[in-house]
Amino acid sequence: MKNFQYQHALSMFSRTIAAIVGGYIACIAASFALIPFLHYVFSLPIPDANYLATILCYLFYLAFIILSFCKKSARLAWRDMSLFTLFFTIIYYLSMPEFNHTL
Amino acid sequence: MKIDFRKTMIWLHTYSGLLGGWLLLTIWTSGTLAYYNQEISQWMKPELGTQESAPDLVNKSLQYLTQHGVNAKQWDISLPYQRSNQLKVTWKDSLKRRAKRHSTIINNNDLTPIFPRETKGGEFFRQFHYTVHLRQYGSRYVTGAAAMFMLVALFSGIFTHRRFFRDFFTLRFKNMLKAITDLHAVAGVITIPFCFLISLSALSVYTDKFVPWSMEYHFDGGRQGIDKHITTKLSPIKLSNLAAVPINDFNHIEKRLHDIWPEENAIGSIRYQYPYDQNGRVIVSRNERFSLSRKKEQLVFNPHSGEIIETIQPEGFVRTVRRVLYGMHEANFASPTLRFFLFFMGVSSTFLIGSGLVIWLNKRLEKVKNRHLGHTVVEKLNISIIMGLLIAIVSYFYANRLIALNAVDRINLEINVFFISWLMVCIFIMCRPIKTAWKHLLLIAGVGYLFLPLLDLIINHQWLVQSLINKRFIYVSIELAMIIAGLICLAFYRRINQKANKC
Repeated sequence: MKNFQYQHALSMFSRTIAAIVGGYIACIAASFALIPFLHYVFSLPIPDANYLATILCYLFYLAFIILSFCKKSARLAWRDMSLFTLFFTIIYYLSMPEFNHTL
Repeated sequence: MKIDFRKTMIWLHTYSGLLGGWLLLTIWTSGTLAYYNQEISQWMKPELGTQESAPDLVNKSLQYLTQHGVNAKQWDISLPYQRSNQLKVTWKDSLKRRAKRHSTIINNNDLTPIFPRETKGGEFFRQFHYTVHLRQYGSRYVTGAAAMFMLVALFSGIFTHRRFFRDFFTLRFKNMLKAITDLHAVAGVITIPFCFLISLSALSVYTDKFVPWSMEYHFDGGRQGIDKHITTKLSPIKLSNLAAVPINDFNHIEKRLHDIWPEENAIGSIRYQYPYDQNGRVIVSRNERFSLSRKKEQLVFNPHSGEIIETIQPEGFVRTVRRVLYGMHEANFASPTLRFFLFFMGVSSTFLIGSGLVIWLNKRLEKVKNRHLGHTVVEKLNISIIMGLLIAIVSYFYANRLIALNAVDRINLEINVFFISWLMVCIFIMCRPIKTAWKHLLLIAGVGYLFLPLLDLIINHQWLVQSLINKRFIYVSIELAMIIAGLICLAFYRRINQKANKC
């Protein structure tokens, strides 16, 4: 019984870290991937798209936190957060247009 | 093991609420008061008076500036309006490299300088709201995390109280704990949109602090780099180096202005750049209450001919989104009725957080026989935050009235009183038995709030009389709000006292 409680606490702790840290990393990845998305779909200029992406990525963070608490185990939560990060990173590198940021 | 979504949400609601709760309660209380920051400042500086503004206020202020701000680089006039009776003129010396600012507050009726007591006023609550008075120690990250906690608790709360329509219409007042639980659900349902918007807009204010990485990767200087692309500004002034006599008749500008901004008291502030140069210009900013967005509406005039030289370009959709989010958070646009509604929303969500903390504890105390150390810690923290804040706020107001007007560093003395009284409440809770702590502190707070208007009458009854005669009701409303707060505290005291006697 005691062993089970200990495992449960450890699992909850790992899940919380996955939500807070993993979710944050995935949220940052989303703030990158949203730039080409907003640029192509809503034809926003890159600076505007970046500006809006940083506001919208909080909603992604919220979704990631909720998601990682809904997973069956802490390992799955970590896996999903890594997959999201990977997914957004790929989107960003495949579709980010060349952009001259100097004024 | 199949995971139950609702159970997870309940767990998340319980513990995100518990961990974030005390900080959130502090932030929400001060934020709610900050809706009335101007009015509180007005109340805390009764020397400003409640008299009507003299006609031709701008011209008379310009006269004052010509007398005092000779050869200045810049003149500023910030005009009084319905929320604040303060007329302030500022001028910047041009002689030194680091220009010195002089500012004077002027009586807006007879235009003599007045010296209101030194106080931070309602501005203290506004700053405390997002920095918890630890600005240089990274506290804005902590308050940002608190906003995220609020979003999580809000989302999971919807599933925790999933039958909220039924909960909404169940109110059981006989049992204290049941009444609080029902009111918690009601307050939650009412304030879902409010809390969501407030938390999201709070986070959007500090995107450059919380999620700066994508901006820093793409632009030099992060958000400042982006701002160069998407923010519109007035063009810099070109000096002619020819001496000129500054105007002191504003009427021709005001006439033109009236066609563009027809409202009464549309001008918020006036800035006169380089009044002693031929190319000097006048920038007129519209009062913030006319716009949802936080972007200042400005017009630039030639002071001599009264023609419009430049208007500020409108910004794109994305920049406006953030400006409007920020503007909604600060609610400078709100009319008195809407402001009161927002204040009510703030009070409800403060109650939501506070009642959540109390419910957490009592639900657990009902079930367990032996108290855990954690229960005691939560109980003591609950009382010291809820009652501590109530008492600290009223002590801050007392400090404003009782500290000598010529005291050295008066501003910080007032703020210290706020924190010391909070600390005293914490010590009181540590030393006294917990059963009677609620009762005694509620009595102290209730008497404190009720006595304050009386003290004001004793110190100077003219403040109240003038406010009533001049029909400027800010002063009276704040006194009334204190009486109501005091009565609520005493009502709770009576309720708890009755219950204790029955047992």
